Amino acid sequence: MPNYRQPSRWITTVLCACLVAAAPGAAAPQTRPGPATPAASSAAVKVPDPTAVVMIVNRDSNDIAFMDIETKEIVGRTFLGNNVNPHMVMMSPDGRYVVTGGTNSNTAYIIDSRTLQVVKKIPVGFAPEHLAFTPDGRYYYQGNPGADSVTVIDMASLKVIKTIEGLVEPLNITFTPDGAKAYVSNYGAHWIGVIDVSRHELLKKIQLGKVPATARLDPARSLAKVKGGSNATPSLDGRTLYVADGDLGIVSVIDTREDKVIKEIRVGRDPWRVYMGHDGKYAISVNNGDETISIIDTQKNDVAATLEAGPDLTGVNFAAGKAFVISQSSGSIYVYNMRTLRNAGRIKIGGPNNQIETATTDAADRTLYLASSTDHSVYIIDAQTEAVERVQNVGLYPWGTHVMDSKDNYCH
Amino acid sequence: MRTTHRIMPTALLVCCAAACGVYSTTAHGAEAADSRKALLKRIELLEKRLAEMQQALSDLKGRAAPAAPPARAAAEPPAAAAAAPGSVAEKLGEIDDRLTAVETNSVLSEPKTIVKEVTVYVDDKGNQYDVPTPGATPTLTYQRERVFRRQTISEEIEAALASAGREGISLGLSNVTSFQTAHQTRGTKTQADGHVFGFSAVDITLQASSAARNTTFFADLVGAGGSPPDREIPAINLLNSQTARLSDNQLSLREAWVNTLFYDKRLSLSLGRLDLTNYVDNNTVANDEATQFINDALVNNPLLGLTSNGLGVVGIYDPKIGLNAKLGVQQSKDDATSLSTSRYVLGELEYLARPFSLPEGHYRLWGRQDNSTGESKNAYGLSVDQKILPAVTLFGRYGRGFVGAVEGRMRFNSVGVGFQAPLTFHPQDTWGLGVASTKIVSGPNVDSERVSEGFYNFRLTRSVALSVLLQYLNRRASDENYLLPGVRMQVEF
Repeated sequence: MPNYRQPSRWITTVLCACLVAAAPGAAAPQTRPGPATPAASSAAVKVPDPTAVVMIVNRDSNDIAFMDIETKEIVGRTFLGNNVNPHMVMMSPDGRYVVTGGTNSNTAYIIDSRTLQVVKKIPVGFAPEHLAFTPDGRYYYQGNPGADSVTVIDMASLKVIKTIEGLVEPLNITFTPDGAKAYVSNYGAHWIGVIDVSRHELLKKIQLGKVPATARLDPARSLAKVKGGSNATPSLDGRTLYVADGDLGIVSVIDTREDKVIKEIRVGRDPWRVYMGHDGKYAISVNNGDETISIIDTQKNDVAATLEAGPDLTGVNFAAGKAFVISQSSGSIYVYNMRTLRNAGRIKIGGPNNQIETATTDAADRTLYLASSTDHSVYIIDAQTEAVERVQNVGLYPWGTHVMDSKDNYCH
Repeated sequence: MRTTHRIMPTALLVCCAAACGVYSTTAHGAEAADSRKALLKRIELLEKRLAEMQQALSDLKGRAAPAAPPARAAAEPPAAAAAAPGSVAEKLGEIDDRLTAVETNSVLSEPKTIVKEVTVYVDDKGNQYDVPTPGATPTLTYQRERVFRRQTISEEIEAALASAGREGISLGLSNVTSFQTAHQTRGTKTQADGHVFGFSAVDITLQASSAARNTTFFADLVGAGGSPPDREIPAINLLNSQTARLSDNQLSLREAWVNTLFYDKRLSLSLGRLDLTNYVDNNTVANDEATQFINDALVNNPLLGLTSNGLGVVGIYDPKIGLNAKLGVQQSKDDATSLSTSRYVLGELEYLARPFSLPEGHYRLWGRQDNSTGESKNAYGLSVDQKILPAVTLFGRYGRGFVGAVEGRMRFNSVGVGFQAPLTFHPQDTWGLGVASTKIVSGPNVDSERVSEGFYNFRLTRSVALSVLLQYLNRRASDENYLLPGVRMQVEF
């Protein structure tokens, strides 16, 4: 409340505040931590429809590029700052904001999805990488694997309301469809954290599987590095989660009503994570230890087929009845027919020694947008014909892509 | 952060008031002066920290401090610098710039430089274009590209080690030692009854991959020695497959070849000293004498009939559609006077199928021709492994044809089953059961035998495996039966 007993001070305050707001360069403080401020109303609208663009995270040029799906042209670019190294980008469910975490700046960036202006920079934990929104879009969970924490940001006030501690290299966050619980996968341990979203508190730890007793015979390996769970992948109805554990070579099936493991499925060596098919019948575990994929029948919760793939598998996209499995270091996409569950060829992307990262599928399940880091391009792949089109110079070292409402929005 | 939030609104007021020239005349002038002092003190502290960071960076890089901070900042006291209207905002802007400069330059590694293969377009006059241009022809070239990314020292070290690993020669070392005993259960007692046998082999593999694009070099040196049961039991198939095509107590060059890939890695060609049987009949549960069955009849099809490794070439066409083809030719006798007189040709078609909605299965058809006996002799065979459950795989082999080593026609078949987790004690363990029947139906060595074998392979660590083995040999011609229990230890690095 203003102090009416000192009118001259109140008037001076308002006057000065107005002058500050009108002064040149006044927009600069908006990027600092503080109360949420609306995007500069004078800024031009660059993206009228948030569903009409592909967002591209450019790790080394430290920006998010926005590519028009129709024209395949970059219509805008949000520079985040030097040495930010953004990792993953995501649109809020209401399409109002685009968010990303800067791994080297320990900051979350909130971008107005229409003007592409940064409206808020929010300090988070060390080395933020992957993130997720609650289904209602109210909260933005930013995982900080370097800090073993998850930062909870209220999207109404654009403020940090809580930091959930006690995790171990939290890599990905999955919400139940009703938004009541979140599951945080810990790559540095063999358990999944269950978060009560109403209180933003770690409720429970679910063990993914037992470490074999023979692990003690090989302490050099067992004590060197843990490759635990990287992601909890939900079934379409959200009642089941599939979590691959790299060290244990299993996919643990978790019942989300009881929050317990109901089955352990043995897959290939060193599985990275599980990707759910769009019809929910099959899920795919990519196994980097033996360069295979395990196709999991989600009705039987058993491996239906184990098929040859390539090295350094970083992602799977589903479209046109096929699975497209990305092999990072070979610059190839391995294709599988999801009706016959058989190999269906391989698509070589770019020139020799090209490295590719991850892709997103459009909402219609027809087209893939693949980030290709070492040639600074995005490759557009027609899932039906497997025709490939290159969009060059999207930014330096594109690390991932994102399309609003896509079923294949993931990172690595 | 709370302190900052308390100060900043006041600071903005100070700034505006200074600009307007009104605030200093109010009754709160003393409070404003205090706030300004606090603000200036804070700026001073920030500048000090910044200067320390810049000094540390310049020390780290071993060169002079960056020129970014103007001399004025250090020489002029903050309070004096901020005395003029608007200078506080300038000071903040300056600190912001310096901080950005520090952020930008605080690269623990130099900016990365990568060289890339690019296609450019060159016209008749030698002008080069980045995009297709009328009159210009596409030309392959290489150019440097700079990537700016702040990398930590650990990332740099990791990248350097990975690069060294890719470009260097990787060395592999493994040892397999087995002990077997023979217990004769039928027939006239022989020398072997009750004897203990042992055999040990050391493999040294070398692999280098920087010879040329998509090209690798591989060599396998083997030193083996001991007394396998085959010394005293004259079976058709080796009772210890470790000894196959090896000389005892000698260091042998088993393989040495160069492999290169063509057509987007769909076609693979290997040239050098080869063992063609490594490329065909690759049964998933019965193809490795070090960790699976040890009897040679359950490792490879004896109808393949290769007696020694030799110079050869093999091509594999694999379009990654679940169907691939292999064709190779090699020298099949070490003492051959020419390649023409010891030509061993082997081809195979392999198909991946999921019959009756079962998990995957591999179906292979192979054929070979061998002229090492003076005339061209053929054989063909089938090899199948089919998962019926995720943890259970059935396998079978069939073959018939002429085998030079026994100087006669042969018929062979085998069936078995392999198991893996969860039907094991530990997750990485495997075990299996198999039977094989071999008949020499023509020539001077007509004979037949049946072998049954079971094994359990304990995967103790990533590098160490221990197997228990049990074979039962039924020699039809001599009417002798043997039970051969054994243990086998595999260590690899």
